[in-house]
Amino acid sequence: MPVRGSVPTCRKAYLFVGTDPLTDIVIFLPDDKFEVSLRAVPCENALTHGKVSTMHEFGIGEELVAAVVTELTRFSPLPRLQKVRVVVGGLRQVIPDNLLFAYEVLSRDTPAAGSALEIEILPLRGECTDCGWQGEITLPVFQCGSCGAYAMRTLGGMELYLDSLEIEEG
Amino acid sequence: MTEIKVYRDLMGANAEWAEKTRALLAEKSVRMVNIIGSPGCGKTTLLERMAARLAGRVRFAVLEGDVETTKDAERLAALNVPVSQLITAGACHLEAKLVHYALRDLPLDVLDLVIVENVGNLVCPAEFDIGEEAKIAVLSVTEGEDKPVKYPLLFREAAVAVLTKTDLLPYLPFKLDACLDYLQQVNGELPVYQVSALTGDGMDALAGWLLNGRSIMR
Repeated sequence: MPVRGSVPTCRKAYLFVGTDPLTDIVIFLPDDKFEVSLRAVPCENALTHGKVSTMHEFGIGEELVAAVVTELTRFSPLPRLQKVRVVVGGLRQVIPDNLLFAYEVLSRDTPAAGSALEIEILPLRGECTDCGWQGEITLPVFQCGSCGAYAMRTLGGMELYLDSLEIEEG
Repeated sequence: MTEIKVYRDLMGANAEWAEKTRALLAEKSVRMVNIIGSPGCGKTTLLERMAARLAGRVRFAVLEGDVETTKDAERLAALNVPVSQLITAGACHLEAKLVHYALRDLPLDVLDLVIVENVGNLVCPAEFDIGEEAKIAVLSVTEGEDKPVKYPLLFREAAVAVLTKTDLLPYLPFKLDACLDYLQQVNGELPVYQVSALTGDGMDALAGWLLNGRSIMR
C-alpha cells in the first residue's frame, strides 16, 4: 500500500437535505473547529419537495409514484390508471402496508391518484454451494433444504421494481 | 383493460450514484468500506482506537454519517483523522448520492482508503449501496446474541462482522457461542473479529483485514 506524504486536514460538515430552498431545518452548528457547508442536494424527483424521507417506504413510494407518472404521461390523452404492480424481493425490508399507505398518500393530486397498488413479494431462492440444491430459503436462516449446510447463495432477493401498469383503454 | 409492462428498478437512482462512486474510486485507486451497526455499538470508538493502527500504514479519511451533530467527526478530528461529517437531518441511513457529493470534496489523490461510518441503524443502511467495496457489520456484546437472525440482510451483505466490547463479556449474560452460531446460520462465509477497542484485544487482527483489503465478493 503506497504511503507517501500526509493527507491534508479535512474539517467539513455537510448538512444534506433533499429540498431547495432550505427551510424548516434545524441546524446544529458546531464550534469553529468545523467549516460548515450547507448543501442543498438538488432534487431529481419533481414530486419530492420535502426533506429526505424518514420512513423507508416513503422514499420508495416517491420513486414509485414518479415512475408511474412518467409512464402515464407518455400517453395522450392521459389514460385512467387502475392498478400498479410492484415486485419486491424476499430480502428487501419493505413492509407492504407501509408501502400501500405511502403510495396512497403520495399519489394524491397526481395522475396516479385513486389507483390500486399490488405488491408481489418473491419467495427467496438460493443455491447450495456445497451440494448444488436449488430451492426456497426460509428466513432468517440460510440453510440448504437438502444437505442442511449453511451454504446457501441467494439467487436474487433484492428485487424492487415497478413491474406493470393496468390502464383503462379509451 | 390494458397491461403495460414497465420493469423499472425503484432503487435505480441510488444504484446509479453508487456506480458513479465506484468509477470515481477506481479512477483514484481508493478503497471504501461501509461500517454499519446499531447506535451505541461502538463504531466511532472502534475508529478512534483503529486510527493509530492505520496511521503510517495507509492514508485514510473518514466520512461520518449521523442524524444530528458533528460530535462523531469531532472525536476523530481530535486524533487528526481527516474526516467529514454528513448530517442527514432525519434520514436513518446514508444514500449513494450524499456519499458521492462528500467524496468529491475529499483529497482522493492522496488517499488509499475511505471509511464510511453509517448512521447507527441495523436495518436501512444494509439496503443502500453507497458504492463501497465491503460492508462491515458491527455488533456489540451488550446487544442480544440473536441480532444476526433478527437482522439477516445486513449480515448477509457484510463481508466481515465485528463483535465489539468483548472486555465486558465476564459481566454479561451474552451467549457468545450462540451468537457465532447465528452468524453462521445467516452467512456461513462471514469472518468474525472479536474485539475490544478499549483494551486493544483483537484490534491488530482487524486492522490487518482493513489493510489487506480482503473482501468476499458475492
